[in-house]
Amino acid sequence: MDRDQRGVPRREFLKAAVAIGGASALSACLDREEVSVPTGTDEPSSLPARQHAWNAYAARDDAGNVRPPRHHVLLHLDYDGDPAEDRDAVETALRSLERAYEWSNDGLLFTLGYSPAYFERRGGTPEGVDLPRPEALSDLEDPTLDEPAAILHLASDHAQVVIEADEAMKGERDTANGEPVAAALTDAFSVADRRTGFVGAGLPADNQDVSGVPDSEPVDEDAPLYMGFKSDFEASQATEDRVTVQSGPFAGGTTQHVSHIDLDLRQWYEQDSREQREAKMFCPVHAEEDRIEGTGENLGTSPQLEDSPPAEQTAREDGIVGHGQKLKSVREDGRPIILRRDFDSTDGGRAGLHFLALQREISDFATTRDAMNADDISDETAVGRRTNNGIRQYLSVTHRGNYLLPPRELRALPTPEGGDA
Amino acid sequence: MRRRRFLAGLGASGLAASAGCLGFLETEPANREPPLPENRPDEPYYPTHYEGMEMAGTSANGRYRAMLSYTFPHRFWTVTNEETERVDFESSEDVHLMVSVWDDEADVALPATSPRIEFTNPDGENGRVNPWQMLSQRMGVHYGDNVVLGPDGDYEATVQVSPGGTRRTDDVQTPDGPLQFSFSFPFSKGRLDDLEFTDVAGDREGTPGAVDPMGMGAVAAGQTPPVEDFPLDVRGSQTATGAEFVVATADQRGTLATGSDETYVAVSVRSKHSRFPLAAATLSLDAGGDTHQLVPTVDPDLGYHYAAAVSGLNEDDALTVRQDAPCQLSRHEGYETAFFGVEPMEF
Repeated sequence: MDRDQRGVPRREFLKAAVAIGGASALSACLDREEVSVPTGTDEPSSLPARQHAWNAYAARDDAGNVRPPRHHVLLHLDYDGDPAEDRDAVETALRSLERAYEWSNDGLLFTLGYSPAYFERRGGTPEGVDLPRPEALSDLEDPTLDEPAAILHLASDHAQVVIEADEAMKGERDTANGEPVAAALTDAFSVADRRTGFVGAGLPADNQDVSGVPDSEPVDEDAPLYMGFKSDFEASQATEDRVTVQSGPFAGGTTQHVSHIDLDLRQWYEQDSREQREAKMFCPVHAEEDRIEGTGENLGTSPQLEDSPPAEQTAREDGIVGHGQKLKSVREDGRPIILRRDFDSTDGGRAGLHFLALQREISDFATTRDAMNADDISDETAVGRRTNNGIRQYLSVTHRGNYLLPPRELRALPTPEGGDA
Repeated sequence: MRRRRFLAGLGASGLAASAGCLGFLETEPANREPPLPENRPDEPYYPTHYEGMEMAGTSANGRYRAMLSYTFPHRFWTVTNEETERVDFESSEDVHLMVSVWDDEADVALPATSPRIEFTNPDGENGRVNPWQMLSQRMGVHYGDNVVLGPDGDYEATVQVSPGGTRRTDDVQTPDGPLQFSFSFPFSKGRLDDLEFTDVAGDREGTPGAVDPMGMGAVAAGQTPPVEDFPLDVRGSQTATGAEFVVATADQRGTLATGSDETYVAVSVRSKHSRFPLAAATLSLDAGGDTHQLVPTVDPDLGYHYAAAVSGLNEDDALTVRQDAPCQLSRHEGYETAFFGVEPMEF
């Protein structure tokens, strides 16, 4: 492993750099990571109309699954101004990012979304979009409801890119990737919160020295997420088309649900067996037939749950139900109705998961979450609300927020009617 | 389980020399447990040892009460279908931390409340655990796990409890979200070491039976009524692998089975010695040519049981009770071999 002069493993330093952020983290990062980041474009029309159109520009793994960017920053933004006056600054700031970085994992992928609270202050709800205020989605949770006006999601394979873009949008830098930054989001917004995370082989293992993961360093080097299994199979994801708003002024947009979930993995790794983990994450039959190797890469582009027994059946007869198995019931044409872009986190010094999901309507998320809760099953069978109920034993939701990601042309302080941007 | 540091550190000769030796166990109760009895029966059995329990406190929120308590760390077994997975404690773990919840107004234990415990130790460090739903001979149905607490001193804990996990026969509306219970308690390893420790005699451990419950009150422990005092018309009772099945009927029960042609069929499944409800099982009932799901239900007088409202049932109709999946509660020593493999029972 590469080590810098002080003996800190390079990758370990880079992960801490994103969590810490700021100018010093960036300069240290630039010193240590010699990366040539491709620049972007002066032609907004060359970019997709959907802010969430990432897949065609993303990296792919060996099996062909979309591989998510490795580093992530979420900026919560408050807004107290007059959109008519601030729109140009917001649009200019975002175009600066597009000019600085290629629209790709290797450059920067980003979205800017707006909360129901933002639209309420403008006198309504976004026309033609199902965007309720956030709420608790199970009787086991009492989450903090996130209601900043807006949320910026920055994602890149390079730590330095998300840190630099973050700094630029906060008005802390005049250049990004060598290109001029003509405006900052903080010309209009103020930063209310900053959250960070990562996904991809090696990063959870490097970040396992954190509350919620036992000291035995159980997270495998190959694991893309703390829980040790791959989750972003092509067949476990909705298509971008399926999550896109189809009509009305925000056609081409999508809704974004962002929750934060505490992970308590001591039981998962120290007390459960590998077979129990496989059964709870996928399906009891997967565990019984030993179908999963390592992180599950041998499964290819699908968790291969097609011929798994219905969740109700194993719940009744075997007293256990798998996470993936439960979610089969909400599939359409064999695929889910939400598009996960989630990532792990060490925010607050705890192992956590920022579960970021895109869907056409927030109710699609609620439907999916209902299937994961499986109250109908836990009410009547040996499966409890947590006991042997997929991975619910290990997950505790702490925050929930709902946002609209307008199409690119309406991304700068839109009105509820989809007014001019 | 893979990591049995206490056994690894013990060595074979030490193990043999110390088995059943009270003196040895008293010196390091937090690090070692005696070996399991050989030839454990397929029913509740006397464990190798048992210990006292220290109350961190009882806290109230509306009609609900939560008790937080702890004892020495223990081995236990998680359950998946008919399989058990032994969980040995880690040497770093200080206590077995437990939560019991009951409805004080209805005077009934609530065995399925999915608590989450968060605590702050004297160093200001935070810990948290979603304890397992478990069954022990001393505590009955509770939630518990072995945890690392921290140094001696004053602790603050918050327990989130979600009482709506089981339907009820009465019209009590359970809250949509978790309720908070707060606790402040002193913890010291000396205090823990002062807890009563009882070594079960070598000729008794591993034989069928169960040690007496802690004596913390039938409500907190969730004990169900004896057959002779069962509040409904008992149609029969049978026992298999230490699980006692009491089948009883009534014209109606609370808000359930209120139709004129309906019969409330209650099946109380409990451990045969202490009558702890065997929660988290799947049960069904064959009656009058139909199969009915027996749904987990809480009743102030019956406690936790399984029930169905059956139409057109005659008094002399045969009732067949099936345990489709055994009790999935994690088990403390003495219960890990029991309640599995129950064949359909006709009443």
